[in-house]
Amino acid sequence: MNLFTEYSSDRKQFTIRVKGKFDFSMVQEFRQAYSEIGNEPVNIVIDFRETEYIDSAALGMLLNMRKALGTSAKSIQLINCRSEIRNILDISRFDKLFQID
Amino acid sequence: MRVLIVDDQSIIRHELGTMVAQFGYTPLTVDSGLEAIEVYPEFNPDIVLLDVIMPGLKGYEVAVELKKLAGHVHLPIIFITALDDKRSLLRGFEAGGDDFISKPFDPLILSAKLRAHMRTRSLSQSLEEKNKRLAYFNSRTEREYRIVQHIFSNALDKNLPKLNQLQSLFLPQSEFNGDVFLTACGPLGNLYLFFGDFTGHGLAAAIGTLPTSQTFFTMASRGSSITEIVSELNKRLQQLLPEDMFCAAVVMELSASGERISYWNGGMTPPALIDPDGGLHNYLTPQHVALGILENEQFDSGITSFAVELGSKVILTTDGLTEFVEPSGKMMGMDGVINLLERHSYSFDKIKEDICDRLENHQQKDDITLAVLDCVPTQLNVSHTPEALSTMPFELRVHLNVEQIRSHDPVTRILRAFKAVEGFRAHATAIFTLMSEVYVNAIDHGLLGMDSSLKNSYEGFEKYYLEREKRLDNLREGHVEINVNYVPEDKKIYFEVTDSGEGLTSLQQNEAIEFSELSYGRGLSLIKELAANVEWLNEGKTIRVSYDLARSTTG
Repeated sequence: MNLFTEYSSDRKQFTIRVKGKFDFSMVQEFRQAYSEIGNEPVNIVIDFRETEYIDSAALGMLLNMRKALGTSAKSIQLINCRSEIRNILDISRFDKLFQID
Repeated sequence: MRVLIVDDQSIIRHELGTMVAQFGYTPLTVDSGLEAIEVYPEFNPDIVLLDVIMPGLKGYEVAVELKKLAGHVHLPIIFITALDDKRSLLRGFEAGGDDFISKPFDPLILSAKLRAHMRTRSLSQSLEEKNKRLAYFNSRTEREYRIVQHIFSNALDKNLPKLNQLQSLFLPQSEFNGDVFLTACGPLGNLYLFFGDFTGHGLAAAIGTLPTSQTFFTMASRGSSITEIVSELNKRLQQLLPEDMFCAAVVMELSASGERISYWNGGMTPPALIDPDGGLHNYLTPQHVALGILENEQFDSGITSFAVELGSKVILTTDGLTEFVEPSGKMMGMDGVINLLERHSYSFDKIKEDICDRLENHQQKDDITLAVLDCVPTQLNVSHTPEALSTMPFELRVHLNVEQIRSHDPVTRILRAFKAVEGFRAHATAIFTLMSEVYVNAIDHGLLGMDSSLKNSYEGFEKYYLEREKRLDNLREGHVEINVNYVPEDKKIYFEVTDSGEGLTSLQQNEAIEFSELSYGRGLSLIKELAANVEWLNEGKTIRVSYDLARSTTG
């Protein structure tokens, strides 16, 4: 398994971490991961610290998540992106749609 | 018992020698002081019977010499003297004599005296033996301490060198102590801190530092999350430490940008977060029990993570300082610590001086560690100097039939090999995205005839991938061929994918090259951005892209 999720101890933040390759093979797993989130609005964090590769399907998954969660996501932050990943996100103008740290 | 008898008169030597032998002891008789000193080392007497008045060396001169030879072990010397010769008797005692006997010799008295003095000597001997053992033990312990100290300083050697954004002071109560402060840098330039306090003091408390620092440094260098780090630390300490020992700790990560803090606090004095204007923002209160107590299943590795304003500060301290009792009788507390820092404008030289002054009048009760972290960009992101590109050209051809397409992920495999080529590693992420888009495009549209517009709706997105999987499973014939060509002179990798599908009409090719966002979406726009050149060959059955290795990988 290359996808990990965790709530912060105050349950106000939900983190999804993808290890290695974040690509089309994770479509279902990724959707299941954020479908765990209840109705209580939380901050969503996608932690890219261990993500080495991403493809356009991953970008699609992020956009879909944004659409699906609507108001139950107080914010969606993409964090710990190494510069190469950041480059891909920038090409797709994700900085306009998400908070990228 | 060995008894040395020293007398110039042979009749006395004979009489005393016989008596001593009759008591069952070992006598040795000599006729002068000089000879007594000579035989001493070999005979090693337990008691000496020594005549006071002899030609040559006098009895009390001999006594001083023999006592010297005996060293730390008490050597009883019994003078042989006439009862009325009080003067020489007194001089004898002054010279270190322990007793005297007078003629005529009474065997009962002599025997009793010998036994009494032997008891004293035995006591002294056993004391000397114990002293020797103690000295040996001491020097061994000292040696072991030095070795352990060496190991400890090596274990903590991996701590980051002094950082501008991190100030700390450390006042241990003894050479080894239970306060642990570790710093490390992750591959993304994230700054990791471990701030812990093991139960107890001294070596026993310090011992947990070793596994803790090893685990912490290894995991930080891999860029692990705080959740993973605390889970592993807890597992190791729980396994290792005796039941009554544990480690209260704050494990914290400051992002490379300096704007995000994630922390886990298990039973540690709550660090204070100070706003850039100096006001208290909040306390990072402990939500968990200390490390090394709970079994894996019960252990909660949940962290707290939040954005911080640049220029904020985090104050961390062990209870050695917060529980420090001020002259007023009140404990200093975290407010006291904040006041102290403010009073000295966070200048650690002055703060250390201040704390040391206070300690002078107090018996320090606990190890004291204090640290202040500035939330500013870490600048730890090691910029790798670009590696020179390999000068060896190569070509690679992968031909996959339907079965192989279903079971293999050729792009990941090729990337794995690429990472070993000089100068490629820094481009691996971009090359992956480019190749993967090109390859997936050939499979999806060339072989499977998928319609990308399906992906545009939320429901369609997942449906698309389910449909793709179904079509791939049902695919009966077809193949795909990948050709990779590295040309060092161009600093380019050429990547060609040919599928056995229908190919694209020239109209479609034109559209695709213009990258109509509607029909082809993000995948093709990524290709357009990442590739130096894109072209269709072979009636649209082959797509050929080139990747420029001179391109910046950081955007």
